[in-house]
Amino acid sequence: MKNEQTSLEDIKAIRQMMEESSKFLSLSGLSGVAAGLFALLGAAVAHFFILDQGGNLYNEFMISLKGANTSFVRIGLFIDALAVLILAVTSAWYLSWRHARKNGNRFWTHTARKMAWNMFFVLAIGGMFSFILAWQENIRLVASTMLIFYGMALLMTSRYTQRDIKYLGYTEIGLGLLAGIFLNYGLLFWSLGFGVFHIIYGVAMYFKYER
Amino acid sequence: MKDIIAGLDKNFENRVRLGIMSALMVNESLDFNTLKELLGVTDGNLASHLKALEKHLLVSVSKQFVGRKPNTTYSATQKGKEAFTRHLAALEKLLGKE
Repeated sequence: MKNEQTSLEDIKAIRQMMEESSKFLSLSGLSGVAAGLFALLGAAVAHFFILDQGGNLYNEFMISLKGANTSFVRIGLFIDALAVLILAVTSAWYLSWRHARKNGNRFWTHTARKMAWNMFFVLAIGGMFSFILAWQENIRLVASTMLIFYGMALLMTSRYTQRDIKYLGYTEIGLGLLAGIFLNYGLLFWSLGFGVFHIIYGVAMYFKYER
Repeated sequence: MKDIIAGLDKNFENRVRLGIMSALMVNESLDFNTLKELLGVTDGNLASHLKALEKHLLVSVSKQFVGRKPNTTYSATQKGKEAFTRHLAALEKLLGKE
C-alpha cells in the first residue's frame, strides 16, 4: 500500500518530469546581459558613425534622405544590425550551453529545438518585414517593427522556457509601439528595448534562478 | 479511504511508467530517444515499460520513417490521460488527508 512519503515523492517526480520535458530551463540570464551590451554597442555605432553623430533628429534625417542616395545608411545599418544579431545569438548560445553544462543538464534537447524554432520563425518574419520597409525607403519604422516582432517572438517562446520572459516580451512590444509614435526617438527606444531592458531582465533572471 | 486507493492506478506505481506518462501529458508526442534521454533509463527497460503501457491502451504508438531511419513516437491515449489524471488526484487526496 502507498504511504505518504512515496505519494509525495511521486508527485514531485511528476512535476519535475512535466517541467523538464516541456521547458528549456538552461537559458542563462547572463545571455540577456551580453545581448544587451552588444545592442548598446551597435546602437552607439549607428548613432555616431552611420547617422551623422546624432546631429540630426532621427526622423527628419530619414526624411531628408528620401530620394537621395540612401545606400550608405541602409547598408551601414544593415551590417550593424547583422553584427549585433550574430554576436548576441552566439553569446546567448554559449552562455546557456555553459549554464547547462555546469548543472549537468543536456543542452540541445527537444525543448531547446522547439524554443529555437519558435523564436526563429517569428523573428524571420519580422526580419523580412524590416527588409521590405527598408526597401520601400521607410527606414524610420524599422526600429518599431523590430521591437514589436521581437516582443511577439518572446511571447511565443515563453511557453517553452521560464515564464518570466513574457514580461520582457510585453516591454518590447510597448516600446515598439511608442517608437512608432515618436519616430524621432526610434533609435533611443531601440536601445532601451534591446539594450537596457535586456540587461535589467538578464540580471534579474540571473539572481532569481542562478544564484 | 477505500475510494482513494481505488483511484490509484497500478500501472503508474513504477517510477519509469509514471515518468513516461508525466512527459506525455505535457507533450503531444515524444520519440523513443527523447524519452530515453528524459528518463535516463536503458533501451530495454524503457521498451518493456512502454510495451506494458501500450498493452493497457494508455499509450499509443506510431511508426514512421524519417528518411531511411525508422522513428517511433509515443503519445498518451484519451484513456491514458484520464487514468493519469485520476491517479494524480488520488495521490493529492492521499496527501491532503493528514
